[in-house]
Amino acid sequence: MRYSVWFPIIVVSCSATFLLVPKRAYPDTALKADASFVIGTWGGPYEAAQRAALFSPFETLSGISIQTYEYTGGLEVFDQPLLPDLLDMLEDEAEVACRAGLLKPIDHANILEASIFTASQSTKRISNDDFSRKDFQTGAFSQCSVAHLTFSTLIAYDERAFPAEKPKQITDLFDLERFPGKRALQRSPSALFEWAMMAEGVPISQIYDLLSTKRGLRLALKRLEALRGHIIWWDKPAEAVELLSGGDVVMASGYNGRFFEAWSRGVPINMIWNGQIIDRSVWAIPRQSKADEQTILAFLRFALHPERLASMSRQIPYGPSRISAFDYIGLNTDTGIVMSDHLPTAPHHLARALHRDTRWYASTSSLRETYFSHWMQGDVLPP
Amino acid sequence: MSSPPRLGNTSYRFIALTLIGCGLGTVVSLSALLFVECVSWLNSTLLIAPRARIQFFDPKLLAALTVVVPTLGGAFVGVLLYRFSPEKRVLGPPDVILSTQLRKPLPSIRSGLVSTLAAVLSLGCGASVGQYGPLVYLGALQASMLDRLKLRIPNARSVAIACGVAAAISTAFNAPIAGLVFAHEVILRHYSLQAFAPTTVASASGFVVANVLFDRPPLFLVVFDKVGHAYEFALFALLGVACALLAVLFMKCVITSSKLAVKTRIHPAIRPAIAGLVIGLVALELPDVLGIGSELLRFATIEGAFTNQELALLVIAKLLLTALCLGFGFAGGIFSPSLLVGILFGALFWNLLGTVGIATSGIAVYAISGMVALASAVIGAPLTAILIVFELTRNYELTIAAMVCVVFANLIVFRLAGRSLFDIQLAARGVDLSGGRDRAQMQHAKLIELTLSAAVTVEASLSVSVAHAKIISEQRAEAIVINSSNKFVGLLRLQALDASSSRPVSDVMLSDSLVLFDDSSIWDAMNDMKGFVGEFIPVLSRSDKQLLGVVSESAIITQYLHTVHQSRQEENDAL
Repeated sequence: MRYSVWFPIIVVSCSATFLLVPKRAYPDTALKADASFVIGTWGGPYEAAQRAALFSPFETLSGISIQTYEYTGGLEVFDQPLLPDLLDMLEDEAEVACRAGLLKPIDHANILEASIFTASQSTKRISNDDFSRKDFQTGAFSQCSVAHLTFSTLIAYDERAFPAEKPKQITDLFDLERFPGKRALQRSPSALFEWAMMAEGVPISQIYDLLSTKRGLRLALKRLEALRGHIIWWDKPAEAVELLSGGDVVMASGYNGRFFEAWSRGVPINMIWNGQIIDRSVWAIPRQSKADEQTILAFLRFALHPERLASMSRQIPYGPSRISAFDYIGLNTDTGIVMSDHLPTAPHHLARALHRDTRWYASTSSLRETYFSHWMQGDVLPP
Repeated sequence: MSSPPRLGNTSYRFIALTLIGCGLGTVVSLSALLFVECVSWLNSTLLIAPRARIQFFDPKLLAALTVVVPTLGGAFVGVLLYRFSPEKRVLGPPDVILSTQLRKPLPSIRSGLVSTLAAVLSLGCGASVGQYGPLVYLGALQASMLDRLKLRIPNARSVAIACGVAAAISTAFNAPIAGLVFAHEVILRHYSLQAFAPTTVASASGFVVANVLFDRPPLFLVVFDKVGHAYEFALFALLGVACALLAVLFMKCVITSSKLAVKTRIHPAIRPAIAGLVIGLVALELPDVLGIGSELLRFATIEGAFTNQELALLVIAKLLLTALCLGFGFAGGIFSPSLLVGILFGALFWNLLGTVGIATSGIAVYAISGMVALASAVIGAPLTAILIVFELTRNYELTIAAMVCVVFANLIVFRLAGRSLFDIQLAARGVDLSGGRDRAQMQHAKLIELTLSAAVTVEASLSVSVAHAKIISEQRAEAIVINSSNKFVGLLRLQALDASSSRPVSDVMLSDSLVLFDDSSIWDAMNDMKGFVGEFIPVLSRSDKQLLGVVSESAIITQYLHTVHQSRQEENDAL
């Protein structure tokens, strides 16, 4: 067998390239050990899960301390004097904040580096493929944010209130005849419009198309009108669970993780997965953040590691944003519950699930707010 | 009796036709999906779709673009069709029907491609036209490319076109049975196993591509329990009658608009831009009129989405704007706008029933019945419409209700206007399909295409005796009398001639004998020949009465029998 003269030249030059290009050093080695930073997050069982799965392990391994600042979403947090250095945001709100120039652009390549702080606890070797964009859900990276988990906004009901027929569909939220009683809903023009459209029989694929017209928004509020006088509004996600478990309401909108946490404590509530809205939480760095950016990025590399994401999903049933992380989710450490069955993306939860169109949400925030506040003031039909 | 086909030949046809069905079905389905995706992408990019419009940052710029986009789109469509298409017009289902019914090839591939591109542009920039007509043509166009293969299968062209059309409809509606029936009901207009089998394969292939490979969602899911009151069936019939009247009005508007467009003397290349400008201006106040209107289609099935005034306004606006767009040369079909006008009208009908105080089973069944009743009457496809309801909604009760509505609408439109808008358009082009395809074929086959025999001619100034001698020597019984410039003047029969007479021929000739013209069709000839006794019929040129030749009665009858026989064979062929 004869090789052309080019063969050794190619072999040599390839190996030379490989040897001469320095491997990127982990930027984590340059961190100051006594640094600290503040994360704005959502409190309650959610924050407790983050503390156990992410914050505490990071503090132990890096020596950097993490304080938290509880907030409930929205862009008001950017007006606070004490602005956190890293925010756990809803994807659509991060998009709005990014367009308004409130967030720093994120160096995606940096985040895809492996973190030195992750001591592999599992026997499964993490492959190189796991450190690529492809391992993340589609659209997980955007200019100013990176998605870390998926959660569901859905309706839970009090088992005690409906001993006979149980509500099973999102339509039942609007049915006061068959399922009488107060509803706790978030004081915000989110999810309500979608649910109202679903209750009108609109297929999932057309929900946002229809809500993009005045007619659609008007129709949604008209549907909501049936519930006027039967709603207790909540602002903090924790209130939804409190109102439901305290018997103040018979149904409540809220996040599946918090309902799950109450349920696993033995509170007699159940969730209606029909009509669930799947959404993502993202990490985003406020432009005004004073903390060392390398420290924040080191935390993100750590927190987005497949094992860390899985550890989070073991604590609270929110799905990881990386495909490889699903392999590490097992049983809840305290209760022994198989967590993958409780994730929003579990196959038996997807029969009628809507993925929130975050770009649509970001672009329509003021419009939705206008319609919603008109309705709140008692106008049946907004402008 | 014809001998049974040889087994080898049969299996060749079987394999070839199956491959045509499967291959064409797949290719057409993929291209139909591409077509739909392109339109949807353009609608988002060009701010036609509400979902794109609501997310646009600047309302003033949006308003400007709402007018500019359809106008510019129209300008492009006009130039595209006028400059690049040899046919200089939009091609659609009528051309496909013409091709299969008269066994003629489709217009050139280039015309077809330009027309398809123009349709994508028209739909993309928000013109009020439909997408199914262009999709049907796209299917037929790809099928016509098979003409180049010499398949040696009788009727291969028609069968292939049926396959292409079926696959396009099957993919577009996600409704394979409707695709199959549409190809037979509207395009082929007969049911032979030879066409039925490959068409079924093509339709199923289209369905597989759309559903299994690409997982397209069903177009129209509605919740409907059952018809609650027996008297509602009478209401469905009434709705059908009302839809029929609206359908006739719609068709009249489209035809009038085309005539008006010609009358305005505006250059054909500029006409679509004018329609686009009108659409854009109307959309400033009524953005619902832009595009196909899939949002409206859904809203119409929801109670309380519209007031009566809104519904009436939208029905009228959509009807007039569609007529304007189609008449002024935007490329697209009439089926989707008919669906839309029909569903809005159905919803209006239901609203009015509520006002009168009649208890009903909800808006959905009336809206959908109205939708398919009007649309099926316009395109002349009642069976397809019923199956579309069944396949789109998978709801038996709803289908039964819609069926009643559809049948009444079709009956009345057939009586008042004709079988379909396509047939009316074809009739305007001189092809009358109302008497069946045999008749259309014979009306279309020109006499001049038959071989004419040379005539025995005598000049009018000759003497009878000379003429007599000439006829005898040619062993004929007749001669044609012509003047010095070869114009026909009369007929001379041997038995009327006195062999010794020296009078000029013009004194004894028959000057009122039957003549045919070069543009007479076989059908005309058959009609004119009633009561004719004679040897030959002279054929003249219509313009200058020059004698072209003669045709025998038997040649015409042979051609007649041949046409009938060909049709019967096509209709009865198994393979």
